[in-house]
Amino acid sequence: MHGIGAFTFATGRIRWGYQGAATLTACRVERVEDGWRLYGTVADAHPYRLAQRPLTFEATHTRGVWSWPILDLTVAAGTCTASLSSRKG
Amino acid sequence: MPRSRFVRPETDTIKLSEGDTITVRRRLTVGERRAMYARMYKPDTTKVDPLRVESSTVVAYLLDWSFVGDDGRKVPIEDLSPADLTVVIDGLEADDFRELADAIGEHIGRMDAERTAEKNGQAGEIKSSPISPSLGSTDGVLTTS
Repeated sequence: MHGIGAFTFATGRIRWGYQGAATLTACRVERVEDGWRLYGTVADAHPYRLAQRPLTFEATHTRGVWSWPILDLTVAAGTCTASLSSRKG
Repeated sequence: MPRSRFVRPETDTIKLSEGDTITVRRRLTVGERRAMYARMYKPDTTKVDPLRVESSTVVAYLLDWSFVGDDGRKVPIEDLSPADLTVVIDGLEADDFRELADAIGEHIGRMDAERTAEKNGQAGEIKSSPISPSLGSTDGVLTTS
C-alpha cells in the first residue's frame, strides 16, 4: 500500500473521550487509498483506556489540533499502528 | 447485558452569559472525585479548607471554555494540570468565577439527580433475594425478651 500524502508529528495523543489513553512520539499519518494510517512510538499508555471505544488520535500543528477517529488499533512492542477515518478537526 | 460500572468520559457543554460556553465532565470517576477532594485539604493537614472547596470542584469538572483574554483570543485551558488550571481560574473576575461555579454546581445537581433516577430505575429490576426476610413476610410474631 503506497501512501499518497503524509504528515509527521513529534508527538500525538490517543484519547478516549477527554481522557488520555496514550502518548505517542515520532508519529506519521499516511494517506492511503481507504483513509489514513497512523504509525507511532508509544511513550506511555493506559491499557484500560486503550481498550475502550471510541478512540481518537490527536496531533497539534501550527494552527491548531487535528483529530482523527480511530477505526482499529494495534499496540505492540512499543509501537502503535492504527487505521484512521477522515480527519475531523 | 450487565450494567457497566465504569464512568465513560463524556462531556456536556453549558451555555453561559454573553454567548460563552464551558465544556465539563459529565460525571467524575472515583479517581477524579478523590483528586478533587484531595485538593480541598489544607496542605499537610487533614482539615478541609473551605476556600478551596469551590475552586477544586470547578477544576475537577472544567475541561474547556470559550473565554477570551485581552487580545480577543481564547485562553487555552484544555489539558492543563489542576494546579495550572487553578492559576488561570484564579485570574477571573469574581462575578465571572461566580457564574462559572454556579453553572458547574447546577450541572452537578442535574447529574446527581440523573444518577439517582438511574439507580431507582434499576432497583425495580433487581431479582435477587433480600439477605434476610423482611418482618412483613414472616408468619411469626416479633417478640422481645
